[in-house]
Amino acid sequence: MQTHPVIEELTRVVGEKNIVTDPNELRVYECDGFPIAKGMPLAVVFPENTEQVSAVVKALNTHELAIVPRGSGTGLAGGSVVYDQGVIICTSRMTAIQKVDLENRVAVVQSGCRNTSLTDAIACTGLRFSPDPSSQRAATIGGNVCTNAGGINTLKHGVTTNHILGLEVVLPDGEILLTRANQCYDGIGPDLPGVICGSEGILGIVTRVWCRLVPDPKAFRTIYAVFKSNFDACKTVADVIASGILPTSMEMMDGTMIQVVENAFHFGFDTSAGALLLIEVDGVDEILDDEMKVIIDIAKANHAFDIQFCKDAARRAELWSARKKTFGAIGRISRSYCTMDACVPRSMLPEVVARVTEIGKEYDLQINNVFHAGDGNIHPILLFNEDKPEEVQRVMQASEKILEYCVTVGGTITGEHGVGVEKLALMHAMFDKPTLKMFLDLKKAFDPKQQFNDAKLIPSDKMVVELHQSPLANVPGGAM
Amino acid sequence: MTLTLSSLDQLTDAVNEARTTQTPLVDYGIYHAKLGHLPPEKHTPYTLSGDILEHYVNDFTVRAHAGITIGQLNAQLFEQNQFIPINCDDDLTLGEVINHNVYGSLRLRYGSMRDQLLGLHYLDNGANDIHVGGRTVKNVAGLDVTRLMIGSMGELGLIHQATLRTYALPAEVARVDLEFKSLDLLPQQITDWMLSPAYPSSIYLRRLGDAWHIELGYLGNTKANDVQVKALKDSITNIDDIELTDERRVTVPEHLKFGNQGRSWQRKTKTLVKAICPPREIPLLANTLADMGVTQIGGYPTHGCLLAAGALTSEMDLKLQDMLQPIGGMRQWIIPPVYDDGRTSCVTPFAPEQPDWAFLRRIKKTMDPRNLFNPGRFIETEESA
Repeated sequence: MQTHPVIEELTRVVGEKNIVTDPNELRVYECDGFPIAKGMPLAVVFPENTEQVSAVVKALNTHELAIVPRGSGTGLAGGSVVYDQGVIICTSRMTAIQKVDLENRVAVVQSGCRNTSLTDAIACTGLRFSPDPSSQRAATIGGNVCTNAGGINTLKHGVTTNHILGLEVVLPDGEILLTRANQCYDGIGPDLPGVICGSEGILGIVTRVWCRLVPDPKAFRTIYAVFKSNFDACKTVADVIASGILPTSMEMMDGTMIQVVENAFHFGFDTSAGALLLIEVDGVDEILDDEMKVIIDIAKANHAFDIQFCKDAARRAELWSARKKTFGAIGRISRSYCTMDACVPRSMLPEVVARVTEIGKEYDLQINNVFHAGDGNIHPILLFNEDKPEEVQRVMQASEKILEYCVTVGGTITGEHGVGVEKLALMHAMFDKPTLKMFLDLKKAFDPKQQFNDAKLIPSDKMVVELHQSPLANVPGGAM
Repeated sequence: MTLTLSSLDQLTDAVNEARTTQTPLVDYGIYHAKLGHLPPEKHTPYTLSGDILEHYVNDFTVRAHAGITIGQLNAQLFEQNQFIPINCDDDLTLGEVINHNVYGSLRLRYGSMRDQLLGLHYLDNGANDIHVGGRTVKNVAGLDVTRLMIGSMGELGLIHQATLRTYALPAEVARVDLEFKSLDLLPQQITDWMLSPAYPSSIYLRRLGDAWHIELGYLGNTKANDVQVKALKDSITNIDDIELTDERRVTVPEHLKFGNQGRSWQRKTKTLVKAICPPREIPLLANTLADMGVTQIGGYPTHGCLLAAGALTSEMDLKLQDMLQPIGGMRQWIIPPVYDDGRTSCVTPFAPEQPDWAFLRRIKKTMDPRNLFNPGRFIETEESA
């Protein structure tokens, strides 16, 4: 078989140990955490520094090959899948924490640095990097930037974009762009890092990140409240938000999920419950009991029948472990499932979750819920048998109906997973033609040849991606 | 004649007229009117007026016209026990605050526009009403043009609506004033406070006479404030060079009003410069300004931002830039000195060129190809130069 001439050039740039071209090894990179979208890359390169990234991009540019950036591949929307025999630039060997500047509360990392590597490295300082997606043990900070990752404590502490001060980006022509790349907290002019955050690698490849570090809260109260119905739990969430208290997190699990988690891990949950809320507040220790009391009163007013709370680290860790293990437990009840992601105004949660249940009934599907309720960020999980094409079709239709409904109540088709290729078709439900054209024009300002991760996040006028199989994922331990 | 635009129809007509006649629309805002380069000779000045469109009280979000002032916005939000925690001057419009990324001392706790803004409506070059972002607190659909517009000085489109987070109005503010004999202590002191219950909601640095004062604000209920203020007092008990000079409890509206009064020196000056540096370098920056004889200095040490007013000469400006350049800082004129020929930008650029500006010119050309919006204000293109 003839080798593409670019391979030799790429090998010269990154060295033989940093390039994969063997078809068997390449299979690992044919998809990310959205395994329905698949594409075999021509090669995967693993540069070790920005200069290598730039040289690789220039070589690929010369050969007019598609370029797809990838971190750890934990994305859930097919954002790092290659089409058109392109080349993946994987940042997973750019892992250095180049500087931790405690006085200015800034860390400078290469984009392949894992989220928890930074967290662990600064654990003793009293500071932290706040974004905490569930995939944080594997996910890279560059990946967090490109998807504007959320997580459990974003309700109070914000998503990735709120914690990024500056970026180094290799543009599609190989130019290295520094934007607000220093220890300053302000800049002059349009917020370029702001638009690169969440851009899913379509504008360039992030190579270095200036991360804002914030004080790590020391005092917590964790509340566990059990309800008879989803509606009561959702109403509690809406009422807590309306009270003005801003918890660190408010996570919800429905009745089936409680049973699944309890059967799998034996945390002692009441399996007759209809829904469970896990709520946490942090801040000044002396007032947390007062805040907790307000939340408990709201939960009681919404018919919570079992309320527990704790401030000890061990029980807290156990409760959060239950939340984080939910996805691992789903595999016990269904071999295949589709995890959706949408965000709605918090006051609409009771109606939205009820409507999701109705849609499940309309399409004869079991839909479970585990989600970031405090953010209004729902994650309906549609269970199905992938060996039954008709059932797969119903899941696709129900998914679309749920997302369209979320848009009608003022919501969005994705709160944190991104659009990738999975939701590309739904972008027309969110945005009108002039806005979509503006997005594409902006991409072309960065990437005139549309070489970088084209047809992800925004519909392309150059390439159409068709998901030949259903847009469904069986994601063991999928991040949320 | 300055056009006052309020309805979408008026805005659309104005953009269409600008395109047809090739006459740019210029709105530099009130406070920031002199910032940046001068407008082209042929232009149409305009201002926006407006009100709250929808207050989603239970969701803690609000959608408003960009022409509403921050004072008007907060006055209405106070009635629902909510507020926008951008403590800037009351008469700035929401659009101006977004276009210039204006923030105040509450940024320490609540963040800046990047943290508050959820969605935007703006008119593009073709008078299309572009809607980006939305009203949910998390949203990753499409490119985040909402944030790109922050700080764009009105050059990328005509913002006419914004959706923001609102916050519950805390019961009170504990204001504590400390006098620092030497600012060298400040960075470590701030770090210590941030890692303790004394962590304030706001820190404002001010030069009063020959002394440096730090005004700390704690936004919370009485019990929380008692705990935090005690922790603060404990933290400075044994430090001779820090003296507590004032302590009082006020409401949030009163706190914001005091802030307006306290910043009035920034409006009564012929020149005003904003200097940005890494937070650790604030003592160096502040002392450099003071040593040059600048008496009106104030700002946000936790974000490495100081404003300085007074008769700043070209020599002083060069010295300031020489000090800032090696530490990665920069300065930006908000009210620049006016030279004999009546122009400002021809003598002193309002800010030194930054590494990403060449690229931002490309974005300007993409989003405003006919150069209709505040041309040359910040990004000088071939057409506007």
